[in-house]
Amino acid sequence: MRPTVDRNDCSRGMGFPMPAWNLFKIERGPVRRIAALWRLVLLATGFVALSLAGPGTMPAWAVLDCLSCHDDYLYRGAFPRSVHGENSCTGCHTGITHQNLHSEGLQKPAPVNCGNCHEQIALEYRRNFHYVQLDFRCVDCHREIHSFTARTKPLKRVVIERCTECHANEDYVASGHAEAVLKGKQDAAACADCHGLHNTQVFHTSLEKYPEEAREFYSRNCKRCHADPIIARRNNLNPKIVAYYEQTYHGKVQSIGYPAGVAGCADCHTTHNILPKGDPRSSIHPANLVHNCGRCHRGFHPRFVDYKAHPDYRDRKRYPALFWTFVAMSGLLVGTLCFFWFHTVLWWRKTYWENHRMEKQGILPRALLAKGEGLQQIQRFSRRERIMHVLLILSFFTLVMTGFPLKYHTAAFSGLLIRFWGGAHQAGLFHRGAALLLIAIVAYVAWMSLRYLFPKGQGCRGFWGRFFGPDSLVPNWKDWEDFKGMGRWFFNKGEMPRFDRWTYWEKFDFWAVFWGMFAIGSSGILMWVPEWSSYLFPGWLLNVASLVHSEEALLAALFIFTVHFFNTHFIPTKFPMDRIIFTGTYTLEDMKEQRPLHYERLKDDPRLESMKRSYPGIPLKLLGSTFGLASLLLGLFLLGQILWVLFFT
Amino acid sequence: MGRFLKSGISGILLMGFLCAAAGAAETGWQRLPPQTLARMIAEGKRPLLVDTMSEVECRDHSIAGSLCIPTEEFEERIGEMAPDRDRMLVLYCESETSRRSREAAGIAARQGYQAVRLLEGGMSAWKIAGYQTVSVERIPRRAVPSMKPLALRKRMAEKQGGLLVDIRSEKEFRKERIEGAVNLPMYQLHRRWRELPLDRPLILVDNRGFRSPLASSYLIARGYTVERLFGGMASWKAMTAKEKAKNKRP
Repeated sequence: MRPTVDRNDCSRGMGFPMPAWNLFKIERGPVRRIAALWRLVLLATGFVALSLAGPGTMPAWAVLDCLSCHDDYLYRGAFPRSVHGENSCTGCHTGITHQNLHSEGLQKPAPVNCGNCHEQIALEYRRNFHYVQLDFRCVDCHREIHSFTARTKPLKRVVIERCTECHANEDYVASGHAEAVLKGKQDAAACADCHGLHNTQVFHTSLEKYPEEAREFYSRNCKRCHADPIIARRNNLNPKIVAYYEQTYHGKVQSIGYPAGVAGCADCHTTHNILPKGDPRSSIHPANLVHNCGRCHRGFHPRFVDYKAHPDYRDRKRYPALFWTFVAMSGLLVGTLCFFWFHTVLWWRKTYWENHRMEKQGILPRALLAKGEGLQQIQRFSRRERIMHVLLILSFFTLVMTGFPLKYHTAAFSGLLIRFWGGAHQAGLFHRGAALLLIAIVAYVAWMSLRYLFPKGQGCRGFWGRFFGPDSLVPNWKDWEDFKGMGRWFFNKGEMPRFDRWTYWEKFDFWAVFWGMFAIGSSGILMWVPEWSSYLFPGWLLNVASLVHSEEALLAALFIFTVHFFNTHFIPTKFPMDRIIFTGTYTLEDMKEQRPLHYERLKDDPRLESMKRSYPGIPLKLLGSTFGLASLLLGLFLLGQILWVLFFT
Repeated sequence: MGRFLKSGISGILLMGFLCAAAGAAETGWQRLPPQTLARMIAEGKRPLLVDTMSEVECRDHSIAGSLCIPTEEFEERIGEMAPDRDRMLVLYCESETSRRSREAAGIAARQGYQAVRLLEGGMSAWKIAGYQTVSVERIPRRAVPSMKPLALRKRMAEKQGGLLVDIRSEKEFRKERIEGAVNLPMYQLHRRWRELPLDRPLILVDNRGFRSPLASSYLIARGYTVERLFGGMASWKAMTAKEKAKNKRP
């Protein structure tokens, strides 16, 4: 005997099948009149049938006549016209089964649960601050629930009016957003666009989660509109402004989850009184910038504020310094890599073909045939040099693994690496620590170089001999000749050049670190203490430093993980690795083959005797190989990730 | 060598002990997740539930079956709780920081309650998890105008009238207050609201701006004109601290 539930009835079986007032609604036209009459007949029949069945078995929908008591205009007149007018009383006020009991005050309706119908909103509202902390229920904001009609005013206006009943709004009213909303622009932000409507969140100064979550939450909401190309175009705004911000240090650090230390949108543009740059009341008006930046930064020169918060480095007219830095760095990157990759491919081809020829003819490499004196180990790298190289590897990997997550902050591997370091903040600490280690290594090498150039007791005597001599790492004419010789050898036009102690590519590696330290190190230090930097340079140089740091790091990583790895791992004569940098020695036969001129210089020299070492022990070999191959694998993983980001995202 | 070993081991033990002590201090009371509490209630294992907010707040909304004993009166009213000291006692307050319920838990433990638990995340977590609260006497929420600290100070300077009513505890009020404020702690509001003057608007000040909306609605329902300080004393202190820092700077 259960009636069909009206489609708008949300009580799931506890309401009228059709609202009573609909049954008696005056309708026009003969067909409708017949329909109304038919309904009356049905209703009367139903009541008669139910009366016969007895009151004890009658369902509530049939016996309740709420309006007989609740007969105010609100329920009789306004409610049927409201948006909920199609619902029955008991659709919302559940729990009343017997009118008499209710009239006598013995049966009270259950609390209204709007979530029965508005499920999604109810779910969102569960996290709403007004509910969680203040226990506001739907009706506390939607007060006229029985006379609730469709909006006649724009939603944003309604939201502003309702929110400002409780929340002071003097700041917002003065803002550009408010002005635009009042002018009827529906794109401009009203309260709910930033704070949420049914999922309002509050990030209070007194809450522990302020300001990290607040900064992320509000910046995300700003970006939602300002990064939307359609909204931006419609309102004559730059749709890429968010993308430019995300390329700066502020944007990147925020993206990897360390928002505490960097500016989100509202930190510079403020929260409610957001005004355009040209307005003297605006926080980003040039006259207010020192104060504005000073809210986070301390102890800077006023030229610090020349920093560009969202520059487009492709815009030559507005940002010439950045544009040309970008061109120069890109040229350096592409030029260096193309040159060395070409060199590497030719070298690999020549070696592979040469090996193949020897295999075919059954010729074994000379080093394999070595015996007796030829097996004597000769020191090439001292213990100190080897330790320095290990430290260099460690600092380099730390820098890459902490820096690249920032450079490619949106890539999947960034999150992985940041988690590996235990969070973005810790990753930053490791980055700085590794940078200090690298600076210390380079400074030590510079000191050793000076000691070599000006040995004790000799001073400047013989300086040029040492400077351009065969033991020096300074490029000389012989390197140019070797380079040409290698070119000829690659194309089968001559023999492989006879090298002395250092080859030209080893010298390049050596000087590349110095250049890298100048470019990456100096730009890194400028960014490390940006406020102090402003006493030497204007703020926009930090933008340049950021670009240089980032592009040079990419060059370094790609160079090491391709060219250097080829030289020491992938050249067919050394595959899978040349462990000399860890064990420090090679055989006399190797020396004769790889560094013939060095051997010839030393063969009659008593120094050769002092360079003789015993064969490296198993622990050292194992340790060196493990460390070297692990570095190789890690480097290749990072290379794969970087290339993936460069070409596929 | 042996001495080194010994001192090393004792050092490690000492460090371990210190870490454990620090850990215990940090975690404090054993916490009961809302889901566990809901399951216990559903299974009929009824722990003794106590809402440590004020009477007004507790009657407005609390978890079904809770006693209302505000933290400030916890010690003197502990007799209202079950004398069985072994029965599980679950304390909660509104906020996720559980500051009030933690304080009450200390008192309960000193009084010999053996199984004192805090509702993890307070009533906030209970609500977020989707569980219902019940109202004995729900206060209809009103639109209460709020003002930020700067606006309040301007208003006070202009002597526009209005009585500052600080609803924090006596202890907090004694420690720091806005000049000219009177103290009527929230936990006494239901008993003492008649002491407040009806002839001028009241400006309510609480800790963080979370409790004054309900207190305001309560007083508006009793005929008062009420406004409140947005962000409570915390925002007032933040403003004064900022000004101090600004004055210090050259």
